[in-house]
Amino acid sequence: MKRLINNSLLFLFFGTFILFSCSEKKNKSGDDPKKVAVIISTLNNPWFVILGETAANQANALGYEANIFDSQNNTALETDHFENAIASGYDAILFNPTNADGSIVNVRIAKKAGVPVFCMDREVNATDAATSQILSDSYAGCVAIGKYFVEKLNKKGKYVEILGMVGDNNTWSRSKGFHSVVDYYPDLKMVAQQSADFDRNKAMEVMESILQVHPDINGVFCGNDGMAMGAYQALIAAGKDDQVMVFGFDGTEDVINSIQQKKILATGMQFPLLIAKTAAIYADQYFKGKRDFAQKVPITVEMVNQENVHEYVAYGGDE
Amino acid sequence: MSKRIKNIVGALIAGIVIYNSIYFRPLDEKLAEEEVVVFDVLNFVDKMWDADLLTTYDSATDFTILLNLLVNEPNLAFEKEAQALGIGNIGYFKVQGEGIVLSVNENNVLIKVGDRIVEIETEFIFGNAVRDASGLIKINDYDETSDFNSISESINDKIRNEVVPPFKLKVAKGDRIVFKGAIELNNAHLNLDQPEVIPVSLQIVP
Repeated sequence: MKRLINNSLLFLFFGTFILFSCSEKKNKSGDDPKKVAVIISTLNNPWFVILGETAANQANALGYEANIFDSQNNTALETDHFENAIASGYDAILFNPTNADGSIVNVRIAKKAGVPVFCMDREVNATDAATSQILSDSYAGCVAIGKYFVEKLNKKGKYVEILGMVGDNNTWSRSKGFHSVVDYYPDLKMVAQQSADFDRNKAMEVMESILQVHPDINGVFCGNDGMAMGAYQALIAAGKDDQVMVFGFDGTEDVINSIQQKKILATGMQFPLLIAKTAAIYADQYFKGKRDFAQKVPITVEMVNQENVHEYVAYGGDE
Repeated sequence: MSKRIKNIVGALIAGIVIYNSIYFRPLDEKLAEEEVVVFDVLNFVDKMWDADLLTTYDSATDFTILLNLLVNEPNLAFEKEAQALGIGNIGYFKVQGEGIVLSVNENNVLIKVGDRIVEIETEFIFGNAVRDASGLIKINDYDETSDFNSISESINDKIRNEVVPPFKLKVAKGDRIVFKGAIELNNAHLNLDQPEVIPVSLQIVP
């Protein structure tokens, strides 16, 4: 009986300890500077490196400690980052999700712990989880690219679409925006559509494979600039870079340079500096008491092509 | 005795665990939660078109006045007249005016409005200009971004199928036309050389 009571008490003690230590923030003194966690889907992509670094730098400039965490496109690792951020006493999270559905639970964990989350570039499919979502208007950007695509191919020809990560809403916003234009033209035929996960090397392999089956294509639309560069590399290797028009999306430095050199035709300029700075500023406003943030804040995307590239810089600058 | 206490404690613990593990809810409540509500965009746009959209375009800014403001005070023009959903350089403007047809082309009709050449789009009716210039639709009113995007698609279909064809059948060089529509401009890269109007209303004036 005595052993039973002792064991029960021990169980109760440890159970309570585990229960209450899991999701509670560390108590901090009022004088400690606030901490901002910048959790990025992957730092294997220069666009996201710019996004993360800009967010962290802006948070620093506003007087906060900021650290960047790489989820490596892994939602489970992203969960670990969230749990660690909350347990370590971070006061806000600037977040670039790995998966529009899979990442919702992580945002809700933070919300439950009283930590505001500001999504950057990618959204989660919930409007009651994040404090605010600062998103590129990928759909409208790709409508503009689709229109330009149709004009440059003169409403006819064969083309390929290389998609991004299928779990990212941006992949489908971009594809739908593009198709909302191109599908009106029956003489424009999509001969292949395949995902390369936003990865340059995968896109090169995908393009190489597709060219073996469809050597006579006229255009390629890629869901991001990394894949556009990979596809372009494959076209060079096949001796078809002059024959096939390549279109990307992001506004990265290498594609802007390529457009200036009259190689790649166009891209959609997202503004990662603006997105990241806005997210950090929102966190600052939150710390100062603001709560009425718009759930979704679109950032307009602008098409950059060979005619207007001289007006733009990579990553859009601070516009 | 100790065995009885152990059994009672065990039963209590099991009872607590089971109680917290299962719950009963009315089936119709659960089914209602899982019901997917499909956004009927065609119906939505049909209703909105006559009741709200055309009405709001009746009060569009005169095109010549807007163009003069854009030339002389572009920042003021954007601040006062442009609609924009979020953050960025792009603004959408409601416009109305009249002009003389210079040419009827495969993709557009060029008209002279004052001393400017204006392009009435008849082929590339795409994008968010009409939706966003109206100021009627807000992104945060829609949980699904795809529903929000489908509104522009449906509006553009309506223009492509109902506004443009009867006009294009009859219009000829030299006609005087009255138009209402939307334009998209970029404040940081302002180009007023040949503004493109996505029309919501086109009339040939006899």
